[in-house]
Amino acid sequence: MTGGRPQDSMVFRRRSWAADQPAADGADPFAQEALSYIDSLYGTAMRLTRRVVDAEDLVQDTYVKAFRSASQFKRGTNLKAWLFTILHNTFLNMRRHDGRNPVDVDSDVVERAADMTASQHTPEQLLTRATLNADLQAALDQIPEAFRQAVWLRDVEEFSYAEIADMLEVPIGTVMSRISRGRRMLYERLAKTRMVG
Amino acid sequence: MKNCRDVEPLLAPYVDGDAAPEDRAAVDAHIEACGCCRDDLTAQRVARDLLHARRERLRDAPTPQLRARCAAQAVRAHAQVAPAARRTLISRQVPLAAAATIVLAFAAVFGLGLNNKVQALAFQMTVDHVKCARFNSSPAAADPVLLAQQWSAKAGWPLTVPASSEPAGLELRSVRRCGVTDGRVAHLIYDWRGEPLSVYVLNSKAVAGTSHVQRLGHQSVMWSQNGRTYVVLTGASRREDLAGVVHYMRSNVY
Ligand SMILES: [Zn+2]
Ligand SMILES: [Zn+2]
Repeated sequence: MTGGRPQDSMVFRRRSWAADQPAADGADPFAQEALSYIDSLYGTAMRLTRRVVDAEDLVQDTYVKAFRSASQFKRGTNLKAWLFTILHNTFLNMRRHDGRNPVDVDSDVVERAADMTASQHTPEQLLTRATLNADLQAALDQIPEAFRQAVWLRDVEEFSYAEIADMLEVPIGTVMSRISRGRRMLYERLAKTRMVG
Repeated sequence: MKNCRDVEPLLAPYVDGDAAPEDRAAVDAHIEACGCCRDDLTAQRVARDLLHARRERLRDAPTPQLRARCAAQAVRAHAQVAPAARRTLISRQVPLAAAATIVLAFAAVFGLGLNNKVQALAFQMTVDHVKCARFNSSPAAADPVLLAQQWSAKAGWPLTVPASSEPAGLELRSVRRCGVTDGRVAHLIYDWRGEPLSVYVLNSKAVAGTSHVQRLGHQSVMWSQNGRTYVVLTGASRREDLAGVVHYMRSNVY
């Protein structure tokens, strides 16, 4: 029996982070922290794949890889960003593998959307009227993957421009431009939805 | 002055308030003169603010099953990394179906962190105990023979149910197949001097030696005997007395 042991959280802090050196009381701080990001990972996977089954596979594969390569994670660096990098690469692999094309709206739809003038509504009206989260999600899902992903990582997951650039392995200028354009496309989709409704 | 194309990538950090001073100045100078980019900036700001305001509610939530599956990956990875090293770990010969069921069910209490299966079992059982034993023990003493017969008929494997015992301070209340363990584990519920006490019985030899685990304000003692695994579990009080209960169980199961 283990009476008089310090609080679990104190034990975690003093333990090695490496997954193969479990804390004596059986808790694994690496796995624990990694699992705490499941909401972010799944939310992101859903926006990437837009299908529950695919998003679930993607998240589970991400964890399988993360736990297997836990020893490669550098302690003190950003675990969430590391997991998102795995998620991104797994997503690319998954798509390459089953040859499935992204279900993206093709470019002419995007062009047409861009032609829609949003001027009939002031931005403030738009903001207050676009009340449904489902509308917002739907609008997001209609913008092309690269832009949707960049905007999501920045505005929902709050990664820095540099973190996103590392994660996606693209120059930071590209990230900035994708976010600029992605936000504008989102606005345009919302403006269009509102005009139709 | 920068043209529209040069300005475009600068608008995102500008909206975020992250732009470098010289970029900020360039954007300011440009939108002063360019209505298009000014509108673009406004549109981007609206989109960004909206996403920001909704960020928590925009994420689809993973199902408990997915959480469980992912947490189970941590267990599985550990089992591969550091197997046989610890004597108290579930031996690898445990029928995998049973072990997997337990781990999966356990993993529903995701986020607690675990790296060995004894801990996993103890967690799993503790969660079940808290949910199950407190609300499902019948008020009166139960007939052990009848409960054992009902169990065999339902579950397909014979179970010994130790009777109430005055010296051990135990009164048998019920035997359940617990939802959380997928019905594979027999959950014997006793009243132990006014406090619920659970005995879980797995139809497999899952552990070597005897393990004591204290977690979540509960303590459990776990051992395997004659091809079955037993877990005695109760709230943390009177820990010194639990040995008596364990002794009684050990000598009354076969
Ligand atoms: Zn311009
Ligand atoms: Zn139960």
